[in-house]
Amino acid sequence: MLVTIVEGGLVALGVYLAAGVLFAVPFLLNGAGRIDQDAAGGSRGFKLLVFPGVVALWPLLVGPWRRSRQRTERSPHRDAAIAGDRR
Amino acid sequence: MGEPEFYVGYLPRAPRRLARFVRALVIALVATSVVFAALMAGSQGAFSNGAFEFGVERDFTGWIETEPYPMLVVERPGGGWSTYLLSGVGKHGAESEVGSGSGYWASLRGSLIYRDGQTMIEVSRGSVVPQVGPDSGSFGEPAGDAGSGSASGAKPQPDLSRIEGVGGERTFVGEIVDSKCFLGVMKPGATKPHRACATRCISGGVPPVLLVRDGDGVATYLLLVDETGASVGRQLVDRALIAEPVRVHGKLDQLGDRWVLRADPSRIERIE
Amino acid sequence: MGHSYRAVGWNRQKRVYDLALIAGIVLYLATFVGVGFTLHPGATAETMLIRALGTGAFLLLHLVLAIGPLCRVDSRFLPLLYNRRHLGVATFVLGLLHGGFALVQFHALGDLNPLVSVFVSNPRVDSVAQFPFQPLGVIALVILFLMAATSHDFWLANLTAPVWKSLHMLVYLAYLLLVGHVSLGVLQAETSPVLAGAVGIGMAGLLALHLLAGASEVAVDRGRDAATGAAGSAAGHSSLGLSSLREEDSAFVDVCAVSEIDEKRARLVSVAGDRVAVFRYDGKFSAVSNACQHQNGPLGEGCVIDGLITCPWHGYQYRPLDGASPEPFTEKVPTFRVQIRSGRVLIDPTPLPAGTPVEPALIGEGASDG
Ligand code: HEM
Ligand code: FES
Repeated sequence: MLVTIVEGGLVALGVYLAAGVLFAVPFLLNGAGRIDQDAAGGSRGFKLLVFPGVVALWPLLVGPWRRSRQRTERSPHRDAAIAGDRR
Repeated sequence: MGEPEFYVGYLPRAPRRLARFVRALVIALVATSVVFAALMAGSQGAFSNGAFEFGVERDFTGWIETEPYPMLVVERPGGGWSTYLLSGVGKHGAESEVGSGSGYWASLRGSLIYRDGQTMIEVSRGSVVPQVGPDSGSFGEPAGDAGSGSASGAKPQPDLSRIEGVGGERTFVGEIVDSKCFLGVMKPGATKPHRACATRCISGGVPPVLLVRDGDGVATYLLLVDETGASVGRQLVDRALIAEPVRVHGKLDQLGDRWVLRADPSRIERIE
Repeated sequence: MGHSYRAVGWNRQKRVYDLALIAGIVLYLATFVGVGFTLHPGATAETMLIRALGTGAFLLLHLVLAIGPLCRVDSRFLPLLYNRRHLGVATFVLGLLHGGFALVQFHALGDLNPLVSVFVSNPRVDSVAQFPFQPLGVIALVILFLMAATSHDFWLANLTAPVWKSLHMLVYLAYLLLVGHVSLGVLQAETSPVLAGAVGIGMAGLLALHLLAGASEVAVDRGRDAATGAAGSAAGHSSLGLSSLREEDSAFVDVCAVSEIDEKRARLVSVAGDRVAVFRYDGKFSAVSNACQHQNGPLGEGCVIDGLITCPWHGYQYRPLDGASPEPFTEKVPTFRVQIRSGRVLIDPTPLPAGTPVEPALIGEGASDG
């Protein structure tokens, strides 16, 4: 019973990470540069260092890549400034 | 004091006073951690005197018993029989090497594991060769041609003089460990840190033993079987009775030079 | 940032830092194994390695956790913070080696996949004393991995510092899990009190450091409250939220006397739910949001160098005029309008969008005003 649950979890994890690898390769070749200009000319060493994180956290990068825009930082001051701008 | 120094990591050099502070700090940190390492390493509990001749293979010849757990039975020079528990490679029993059913004469290769006068052999994969013809039973002989497992008519089966209940009906308090790790493959090979490993070993078919210590800490190993004398590893794993204090009530048999505790696994109790 | 990422932006300080770190680790492991085998010749090499790596990783984690509060208490510890991410990566690597060896030693070559075995081979979740300890180590290792994997500046820029920081706050969970990993594991079998004592001292020390750092933060905030209150501003800093801003857009908030800000340094004030750093430099005053865009380091504890506000943590720089990093860098922080009246510094509590230019206030203005 427990073994089945854990095995299921491991399979799910494997699928998630495999999807991460499939995501990471094109992302690092192309996508990263589109959301972050500094990554566009990133060295091979940089790509290698960032790769494991992309494989693990790829869902957080899907949105920015689709919008081709870097995530913007949120803080009380930044939010208030934007709200004030709109008023 | 004067103007506090401001550190900017990417400038080539830190301000002098700050650099001196950091240097002293780093030296202190490294020195502390070295002392700490020595303290940690020194305070470890004693390691057992068990040994595992990893990578050293020897030849053995004798009678193979498959029940309740695979054993090699060898005639002692002075008469009588010695029993050696067998295990497979890794966390596996030797059943896949020796097969099941009635015993037979065979030769095999393996590595020794020993502690406190107890010896086990880790059987090398595919090294068990049943012997058909009469054989001296000595060590290091080239194996005879591999025939069927039957040795009938060749040499008489050893008389292990199993004496049922000779030790009477007894209750023991001890810890169930896997014989392979405990005898010397792992240190520690008992108690909670080793529980997961012991569970895998016993689940894989390594014979379980009840480790009982007397007042002086001298260990006795009782091979565990169920009331009918059959192997009991599966039930011990399923009931999670391994590597923690338990009370076992059963009948003590003698098998050759070895004590065997016959106990109903469903009645083994944990001592919380 | 504003130049292409490299694997690691090396400089002399980082090289010195990493050299000291690697030397420390090698010395630690060598001492452990050397002393271990001298005192316990019957030990197995696997156990010795697993223990050297596990205790080494745990020790490093204490250092990682201590540096933050140490820097709050005494800024001379800041050089340790500068390259702390490499400490974190080293902690992960040692933890990975320890966990990897343990996984092979205790779980491989059996009748289950080792990764399954580590979760199911001690099923005694019904008991506190017998509770499985190895899964706790696995979860802690996963956290350490996530932190190490996101330690590159790319992640700060693309997750944004607040998200990145919340992820890295998991280090406290990892620490607690590891306290459990050790207490429920080897401590249950160990007879010597040394390891238990070390874990206890480590916990007490970290707790004390964090309380001390927290207390000094509170003291800073109190001082600020007093200053704000004394000038009779509309509200204390904590209640100056967005809603009240709407009506009092033009209400400037008192920060402190002109003389209370040292040249090239800042004073902090809390408005609009966060801290503002008001800098004085060359007779001018400018205010920016306190959180550095890099890792949200405290700009107000930084310094004006070459006319640029310089973060104390990793030296990111911003122009006081508009809160923007000089070319080619692209970081920007929100700015605030500043006034000098009667020898006092006041700021408009409405944050301006990051990078908005603001005329600095001059001391002369204040004099003519009063
Ligand atoms: C896959 C993850 C992990 C596994 C399977 C694991 C397994 C183990 C095992 C089996 C022991 C007992 C070893 C013995 O008998 O001495 C142990 C002890 C210990 N572990 Fe872990 N561990 C893991 C992760 C970690 C991590 C990430 C750290 C610290 C950063 C850590 C720190 C320690 C410490 C300090 C000890 C006690 C000292 C020792 O005996 O090694 N473990 N671990
Ligand atoms: S937090 Fe890293 S430079 Fe400011």
